Order: sequence, then C-alpha cells, then structure tokens
Amino acid sequence: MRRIHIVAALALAAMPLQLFAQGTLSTQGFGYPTGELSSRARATGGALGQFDPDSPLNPAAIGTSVDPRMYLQYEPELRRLSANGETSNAVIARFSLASLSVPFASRGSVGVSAATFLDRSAETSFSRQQSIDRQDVTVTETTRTLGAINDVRVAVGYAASQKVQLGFGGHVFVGQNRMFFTQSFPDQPAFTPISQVSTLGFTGFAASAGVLLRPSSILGFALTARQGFGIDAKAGDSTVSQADIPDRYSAAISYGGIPGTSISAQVSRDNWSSLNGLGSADAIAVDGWEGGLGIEALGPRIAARQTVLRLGGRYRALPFLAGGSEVDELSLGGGLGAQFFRNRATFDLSVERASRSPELSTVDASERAYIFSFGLRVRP
Amino acid sequence: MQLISGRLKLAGLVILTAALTACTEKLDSSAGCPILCPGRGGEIETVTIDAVTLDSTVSALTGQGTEASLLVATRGDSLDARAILRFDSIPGRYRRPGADTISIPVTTADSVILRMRVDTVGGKIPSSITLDIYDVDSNAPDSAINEIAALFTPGRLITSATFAKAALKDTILVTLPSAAILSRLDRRLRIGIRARGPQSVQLRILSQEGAGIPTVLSYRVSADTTVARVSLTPESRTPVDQPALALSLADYTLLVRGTATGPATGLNIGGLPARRVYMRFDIPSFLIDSVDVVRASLLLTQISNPGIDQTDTVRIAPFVSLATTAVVDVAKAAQITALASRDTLRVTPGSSGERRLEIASILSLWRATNVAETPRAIVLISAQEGNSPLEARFHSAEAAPELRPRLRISYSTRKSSGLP
Repeated sequence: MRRIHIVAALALAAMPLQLFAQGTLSTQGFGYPTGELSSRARATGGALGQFDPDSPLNPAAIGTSVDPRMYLQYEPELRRLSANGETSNAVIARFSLASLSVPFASRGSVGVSAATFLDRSAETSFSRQQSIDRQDVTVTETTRTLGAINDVRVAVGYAASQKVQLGFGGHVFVGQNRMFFTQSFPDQPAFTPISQVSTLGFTGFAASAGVLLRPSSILGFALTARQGFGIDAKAGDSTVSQADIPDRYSAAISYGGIPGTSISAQVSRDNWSSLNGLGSADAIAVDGWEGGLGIEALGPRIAARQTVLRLGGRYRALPFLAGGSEVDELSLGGGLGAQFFRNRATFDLSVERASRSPELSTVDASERAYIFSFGLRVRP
Repeated sequence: MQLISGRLKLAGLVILTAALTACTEKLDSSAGCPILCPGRGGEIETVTIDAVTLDSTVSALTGQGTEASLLVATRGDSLDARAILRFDSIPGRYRRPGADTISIPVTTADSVILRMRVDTVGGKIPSSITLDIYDVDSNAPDSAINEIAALFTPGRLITSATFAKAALKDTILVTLPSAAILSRLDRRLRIGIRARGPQSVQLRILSQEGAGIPTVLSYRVSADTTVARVSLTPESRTPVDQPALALSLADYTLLVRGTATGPATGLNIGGLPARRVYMRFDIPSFLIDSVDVVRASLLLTQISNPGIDQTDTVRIAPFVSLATTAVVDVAKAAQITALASRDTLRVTPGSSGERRLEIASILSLWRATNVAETPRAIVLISAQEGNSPLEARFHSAEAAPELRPRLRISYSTRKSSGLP
C-alpha cells in the first residue's frame, strides 16, 4: 500500500498540473461560503444565526426545540460580475440547508443538518492566441466547475436551566467538485478539441461547541467555537492534497427590550488560512472577520396570519484571494416570516443584496448579487 | 394596512418570479477572465517522429463490378477502359393487359432505347464523342479481360451514337436496332461500350452500385399502345453459385489498359487499376495514452508523376485499418478499413514537395484499441479510387530521412487535477 502511495505521489509530481480559478470574485479557491444561515438568520445579516436552531452554527441553539422539527431551504443567487468593462450574469441554484431535530428527555434535542459550506459552481469561457507548431491559433477554453463542500453536522443541545443552554456538534465535511475543461479550435479538422473531466472528493472533520446565556428575559448571549481537523481532497483513490477545516469563533448578542422586537448582533472569526495546501499555491485563503447586525419584529397581520419582518446587514471577508487581493462582501437584506397550518409550518423568505469588491484597486472587478432564500420549517 | 398588504403581495410575486427564474442554472462568469482566471490551458508541445515502421503500396482489390461508376476512357497508349452491361434475360414472350393470360411470342422490337446516366466531372470530353455499342456475349469469364476486349470487333458492332459535348448532360439515350433484341430472345444480351472522339475521351457511366436505376434497356413489342414497353435493367445470372458476385457483374468496367504506376519503392495512391497505401506506425505510448493530442499531421513528400492529367486534383483520404494481427497480409489488411478523419489531402499528380494530412482523430481511436491486437495502421485511399486514372506518388519510409513519411504531433501538457 505504501508503495502504491509513493508511485501515485511520483506520478502526480511528474504531471504538469494546471490550476484554475473560477473567474469570479466570490468563487475563488474552493468556492463561495454560503454562511450556513437559515432564511431567517440571513434576513438579519446573520445576527440571529447563533440563536437560530435552523442555522447549524451553534449546537446549543437546538436545545430550545420542544417539538421535532424539519427544515428545508432553497437559495438561488442572481450574480452580476463586472470586470474589464465587461459583464457576466449568472444564476446559481442552491439547496443550501436541510436540518432535522428531535427532542429528548425534557430539556434536550439532537439534530442533524447538511449545509453548503463552500460552493464552487462557476463557468468561464474565453479565447486567446496560442502558438501551436509555429502557427498562431485561436484557442477557446471553457471551464465548468460544479459541486460543493458540505457540512454535515450531528449536534446535541441541552438546556441546563432557563438561563443556560449548551451544545456540542460533530461535523463531517463531504462533497465533490467536478471540473469540465474543453479547448476548442476554429480550424477543423486540423485541430482536435480537448476535453478533460476531473473529479475531486472531500472528506474532513470538525467539532463544535456552543453556549446560549440568557441572564434576563430581554438579553441573550451566544458563544460558539468550531475546531477544525483534517480535510483530504481525493481523486479516485489517491489523496491529492490535505489541509485542515478552518476554526471558527463567534459571539452574538440579542436584545429584546422593545416589545415584539429583537435586535441582534454577531461577530465571528474564520481561520480560512488553514485550508491553504488543499488547493494549489494559487488558491490562497486568508483569515477573516465577519460582523452582522439585524432586527426582527412583529409585522402586520396578513390574511389573519401574524407576520414577522426582518432587516439586517452583514460585512465579511471572503476566504480566498482574487487576483492577489482580499475580497470583502457587504450584504444588506430583509425578509418575512409567517406560520401556516395551525402554526405547524413556518415559511421564511429573505432577499439579500451582496456587494463584493477586491481590496486592491489594481483588480478591476466587482460583483453584485441578489440572494433569495426560501425556508420551510415543519413541526410534524 | 390595505396598502401594505398590496405591496407585500407584489413583493411576493416578484420574489416568486425570481425564484422560478433561478431554477435554471447559468453559471457563466467569463467577464472575469483573464484577471480572475490565471494559468489555464497549459502549453502545447510539438514533436516530429519517424513513426512509420511499415509502408507499402497494395492493390485496392475492390472487386470487379463493385465500382460506383463505369469508367469509359480512350486515351491512346495511356488508358483504355470500357463498360460492360449485361442483360442476361431477354424475354421471348409477352402478355396483353387485362384478363388474357395467354402469352404471345415477341416478333417485333421497336424503339429500342438504351438509357444511361453519365458523369463528366473530372472527365475528358472533346467537342463530340461517339459511343460504340458492341455485342460482347461470350462464355469467357468476366475476369478474362483480354478475351472480352477481343470481342470489340467491327463484326460485333451493334450501333454507334455520337453526342455533342453539350448533349452529355446527366442522361443519354442510345437507339439500338431491333435486331439486337430479336436475335437474343430467350437468351442474353451483353453490351460493351467503347468511347472515341477527335481527342482523348474519358467519362463515367453510373453503375447499379452508384445510383438507383441508372441504366434501362427498353423497347416496344407491340404496336398496341396498351401493351407497356419492356424495360430491363442490367442483370447477371452468372456465376450461378455466387449471387453477390453476380449482382456486381450486372455492369462493370473492363480495364483493357491501365495507367503506369510509380516505382515499387514509392507510395502510389490511385491510378488504374487502383492502388492504395498501407502504413503501420510505432508511436510512443505516452502520446496515445497520456496526453491530449491537439493536432497530428502525417507529413508526406510527394514525387511528381509525369503521367496523364498532371494538373488535375486527386483527393486522398486517410482511413484507419481495423485489421487485427491475425491478418498478416498487408494487402488484405488494407481492405479492412473505416473512415476516421474528416481531412482530405488534395494534390495534383504532377506536383512535388511536402504535404500534410491531419490524422488526430485516428490517434484518438487508437487510444481505445489494444496495439497488441490491432496494429496502429492507416490506409491512404484516393477518393476517386477505381474511377480515375489520377495517381499521387510519395516517398516511402525507405527514402532519405528528410523525405520519408513522418508524424508531427502537437499535444497539450495540461493535466487537470481539479484543484483550484
């Protein structure tokens, strides 16, 4: 077995690997971090994420669930990339989050969730001149990358008292990236198009712990930490690269002193740089901060149903450099929630406008995106 | 409150529409290139190798009568080709239309017409041509070229028909004397066609293999116009025990004198009788198995052919040989082929110099085959094989290094790992 590994390593080293970026600001490296936020939390700029049982961030949050609950989320993104005076419009369809939790004893819940951690879906096509056999030829290269790394979490939450909730989670990061690469030439049949397909599979692990503190009826605090362990990228049976799942530390506060209203804020630190080495030397991940502020308030009654309105904003650094520059994202959004079927089903929707821009002005590119999020929560 | 409700419904409608629109992914982000897409397709390397291990000129072995058209050419000492049409059953009786089942012996044959379709493309047509129609019926086997050619005598001449150049458009009609039919009732009529003109003549008559029903012999057996004309298409009833061969021999080209071919040490493609070239390759395995070939060119050095039609164009197509190692005779291996490249080499026989034929698609096929079972070989065939005297000649692997066939391969060094 050891010999096979050595041979595989030598073969890989001998191959002139050609490496790719994905052509956008947000999907560099292994892709865009969705944030693992539910529609409700996303509408509040992520500020409610630490308190939200549907967002797989703080395992303590599921301790408040007294009923079994199931949650599904669909999250399309309409993205507009501008660079070099040109514009590309993209539509990305994501089913970004699904979760299930059931209570146990009288104070605890156990839950399982699957969320998109890094989404690498992108496609680029451009033409360039290439010298082949002393002849200048126009080559059109198309790269289509599909797939994501997903975070599958099993969590236990427990309410030790009315003021303290604890939770622990075990994470498995799995997924697949499939890359379709073609090179085509206008001069047929002299030149033959190239088509290559490569598939990467990922397996990584992490553990998380969280606590929710409610010192008073109007104030809540949340603290969460995720410790990342190793992650492998494999092509077939061969391990192509290894790195670590990023550690994450976050804190949040919620204030409910205004009747019918909750104001929340969160801050977190993601050590994305631990992913360096999983990709090529060109895929550079950097640690980054994230902060969000949001408000959730009772809205008008529509069709005899009580609605909840949400507003929020979020600012964060994206994990991977684009053109050598860090990329920041500012999101402003809002949303609506309402209950149906005798309050056993809840439908949340949010709309978020995200602006992404490189910190270095030398990178002439910017991105605007509208992220629609639809969440359906059911309590059977 | 009603105003708010209305706005919320409108917003809901907009969001729902956006969500439904977003169900279809469109991922194009090409505007980000090349700034956000560095280092993409890798380099293209080019190597030129002496990969030909065996090359040989072999006979086309296309089988008598299988040609798509019948070459009729009279070109002095260079070429003499004639056409043979067989009507192996001339009916001796006919029936009137209606319920009358009694057959009547044929006693008259009026308006005997031989209709043929001609193709003058690539031909040599003087101001007028004359087609001499001979009775060439004999018991000589069809492969006995000289014996059949000897039947084209004045005594066997049935008729002659002269056509102006402008009249040779698609279909021609030749009127035969009644005696040509009446003398062959209940027997067979075998017609030989020879062309002549003020200068060299060369044209083609479409054969049964090349068109639907190109040739029809028809005549009237009764003055009664309700009795339909008898229409006969070429038919051979011999050899009796080989129906497929008999089908082919319904019409065929009788090549009395073929074109001169090039030196045995060269590669000769085309000509009459037709020749093709078999080439076997030994290519480094990494070029087949480990890289993506962008371009593969077979470099050939042409030798000028001083024969006929030096400035006409001959098209040469590369076929892949499908013969396995069980076929040891290259002449037979050269017959087991499949078209695998869209490229065609166009040359004039009289020219010379380096020529390039693209065969990358054939290399792609070889990736899927086991070289131990199926040798990597191609067969170069004239697109007008068997129908044209044009012959292109090339240096073989026995020539000087700069003249022998070589393979120039451009390949991509890119190997995708899928890593960003």
